[in-house]
Amino acid sequence: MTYPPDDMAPLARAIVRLGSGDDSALPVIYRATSSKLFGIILRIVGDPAEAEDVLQDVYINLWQQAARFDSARGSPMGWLATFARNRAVDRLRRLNTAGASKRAPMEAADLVADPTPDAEHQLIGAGEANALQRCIDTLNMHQRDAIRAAWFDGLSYPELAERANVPLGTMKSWIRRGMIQLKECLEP
Amino acid sequence: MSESDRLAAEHALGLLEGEELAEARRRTLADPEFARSVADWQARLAPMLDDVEPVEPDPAVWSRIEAAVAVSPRSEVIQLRRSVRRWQIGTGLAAAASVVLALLSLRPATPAPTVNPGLIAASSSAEGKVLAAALAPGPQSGPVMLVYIPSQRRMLAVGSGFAKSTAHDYQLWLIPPGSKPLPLGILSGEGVQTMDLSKALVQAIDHRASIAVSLEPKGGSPTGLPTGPVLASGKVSAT
Repeated sequence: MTYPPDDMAPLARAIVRLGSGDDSALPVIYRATSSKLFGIILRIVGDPAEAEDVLQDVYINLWQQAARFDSARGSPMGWLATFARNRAVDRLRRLNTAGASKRAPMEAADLVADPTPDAEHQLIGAGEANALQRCIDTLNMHQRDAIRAAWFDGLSYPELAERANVPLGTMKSWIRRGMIQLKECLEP
Repeated sequence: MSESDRLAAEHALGLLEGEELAEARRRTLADPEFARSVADWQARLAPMLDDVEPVEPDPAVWSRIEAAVAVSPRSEVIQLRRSVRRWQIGTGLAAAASVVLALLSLRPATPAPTVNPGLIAASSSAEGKVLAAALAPGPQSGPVMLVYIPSQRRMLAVGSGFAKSTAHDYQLWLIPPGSKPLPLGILSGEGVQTMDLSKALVQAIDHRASIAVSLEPKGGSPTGLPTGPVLASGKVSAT
């Protein structure tokens, strides 16, 4: 794994500080990352009120995870985004199990796009994002769509299969083969 | 792709359900190599999240975070203790009852009130004080409220927001200070549950004990000790 580029260092430092018990690092982290994380969570969970709840949950509990952050193993923004995504998927599964109605598609008018995207905190270095994109492009369309839908939208296997109108077994094999291929492409 | 790697990849994507999901969660906690495998898969895909449009959250969200963090205790304790909260002794059985009622009306996704914390227990009697505990919801568990009535050797439990599962149960534990967890019972997740307690449990309950909820196979832990991950996130229960 490559070390995060220098402009990531402040965020990594803040996370380490939070993990060591310094709560004053939390507002720093929030300011730098909340819009990105909220976008990710909102896309998965759908409902803005639920998404806000998950976002809150992420930062309130961040101190517990922060102590496990290893700055040598990747970008802090990537780590945070993944953590938020996981929490969002957990919430989505819980809502679906509790019988919540199918999530409403996001109304574009309800969302306020961040007017000043902070380019400095775009995820991961450009190098890694490009490498991933190149490898994603080597997948066939089915594999690519399925993996993207699982990752970005938090769809489950049954949902993916229904959406693509294929049997569960077919979808599982698309995902599994796609993942193997990605791994081999990224780490030949 | 090895079976283990396959499981890790699907767990990283959030695609597992039921028994496989419980297995992956157990292995993530128990097997560092498996945990690393899952983390590696997520790290491979993380750069894709760059494509998601940022959306600015309502400023009220930060206010709530700030308020919650301000009251939350931050001592360096063992992993298990971070996930549990202690019994609190409070000031009114009526208050405890009203809490139980309030909890019953909470939507599963609503967090337990952080501003109005532990509610909690109250009256004293010849047999001892009524004790109560409130566990705030976590990613896999809803709020849980427990009320112990010593004169009846009985525990009332209310939990909501737990995903139903055919593969596992949510088990309650009492953890006396410095001692191993004692099983309290399986949380039904519906309505108010009554648990009659054994003598051993009754003797172990006092205000210094802690409470936890863990994810176990259906029917509860076969070993008498928690085997699955502790889910109760224990928020704020200051008196």
